[in-house]
Amino acid sequence: MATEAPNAPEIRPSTDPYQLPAALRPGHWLLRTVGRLFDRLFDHPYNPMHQLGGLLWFFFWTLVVSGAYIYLFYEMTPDGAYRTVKELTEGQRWVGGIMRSLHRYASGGLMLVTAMHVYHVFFSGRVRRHRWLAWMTGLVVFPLIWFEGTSGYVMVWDDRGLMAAHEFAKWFDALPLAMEPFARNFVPGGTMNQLFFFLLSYLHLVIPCGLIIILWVHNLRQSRPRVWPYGPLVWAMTVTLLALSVFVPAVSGPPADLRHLTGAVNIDWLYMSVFPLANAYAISPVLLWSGTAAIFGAMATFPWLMPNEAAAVVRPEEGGRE
Amino acid sequence: MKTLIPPGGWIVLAAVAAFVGFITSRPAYCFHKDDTAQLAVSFKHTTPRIHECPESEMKSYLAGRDNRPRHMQNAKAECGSRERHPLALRITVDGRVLTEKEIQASGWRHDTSIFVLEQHMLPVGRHTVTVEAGEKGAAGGYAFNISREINFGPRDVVAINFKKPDFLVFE
Repeated sequence: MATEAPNAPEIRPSTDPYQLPAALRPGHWLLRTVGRLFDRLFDHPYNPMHQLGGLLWFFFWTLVVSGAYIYLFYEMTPDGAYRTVKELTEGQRWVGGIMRSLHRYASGGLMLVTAMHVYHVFFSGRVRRHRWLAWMTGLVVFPLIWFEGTSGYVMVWDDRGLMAAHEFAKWFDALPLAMEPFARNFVPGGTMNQLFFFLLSYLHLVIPCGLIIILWVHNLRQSRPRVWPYGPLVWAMTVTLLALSVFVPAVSGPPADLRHLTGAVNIDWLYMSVFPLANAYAISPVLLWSGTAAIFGAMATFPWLMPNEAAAVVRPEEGGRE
Repeated sequence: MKTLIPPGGWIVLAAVAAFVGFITSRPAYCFHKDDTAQLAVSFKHTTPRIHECPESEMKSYLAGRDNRPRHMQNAKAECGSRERHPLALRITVDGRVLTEKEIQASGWRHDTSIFVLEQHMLPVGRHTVTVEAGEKGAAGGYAFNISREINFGPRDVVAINFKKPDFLVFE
């Protein structure tokens, strides 16, 4: 299962920093500095900075396995959703509870690793030439991971889930997609029923299936895509995730109550930081959509905007990996 | 070949794990303070057609029905105008008008139901809430209304629904 690191070559920067546009050099310097430090701390082949793609898959499959277990007990109704997740956490402390915590922390790890991967690729200038496909598919993967993670919190249907649902509803209602405001689901006496949870569960299952296909395309033009980290790193990550799940178990908040506004909520800042940001600065959903579209639109042009010299050609003899 | 992560690596992993453990549930953020509450007026309603089908027109329609394509044979749907009246809505709290508008029926041809969702933040306490609705636009007057004194507790959401001819209050 876990792959070893036979004849692991010395890792050297695959891109000459002086070929990078000046704007990227500080970011690249930070990348190299942290990379060298981690090379020393982890012993070079097991430096996670060089296996971010593999780690992404590790967290992904951890999520699939733990999520499959949670699905066995999950009930897709407004009352059942909260109850079954809580029972799973408290009734099966050492199996269901750990599976749930693994699901929570693997999703956090996935987001963290994805963000670092984007940073690594961008500040190495690895977006030109044949890498445009990986960059563009990565731009699709990132929001899907975000939606998947955030909608997972809604499925728990506690105060945090209700908050996320309210915020999602605001965003969707700003788009001319449906006649009926989505937010009507979350008003007392409204249209909330089990169909909402069925749809949510369906999306929560379908999106990972789509992710597998997109990530397959993502790796298509890479000569040696890393789809699983080296063995010792896998074990180290597994032990770390399990320890975190045992000592800081994921728990539900109070049940979602449509008759009350969301007060103080313990939120997942890796996935939900946009919600308090929009709330604190009263950013309208239209502005949020426009800003998101502008950022992603600008990122989509990077492969063609970056000068040719910055294109990274990772030669096997250089041992370049990502 | 090395097979173990050195202690330095474990320290980094433990630090990252502690960061993830913390950041996925702390610190808390307060979305709504205890001195606020919300009034939500939410309902679905279908207003009458602007031009109802008169009996004479219905007769002639039914006579020629078989010559029409199948999807146009529903006399109730095809006879008269498809377009429906807009809904007039006025929400007043403590004498202050918070919403006063005409809402068009949904659909390209304004021929389907109207979905209303109006949410207003209010300070906690007792408020006199008046909701008025009219089925034929503002010019047609407000035939349906409710006026009620409601006590809004901290972060309470009070919803008012309309099911002709009554308003329902969910406190």
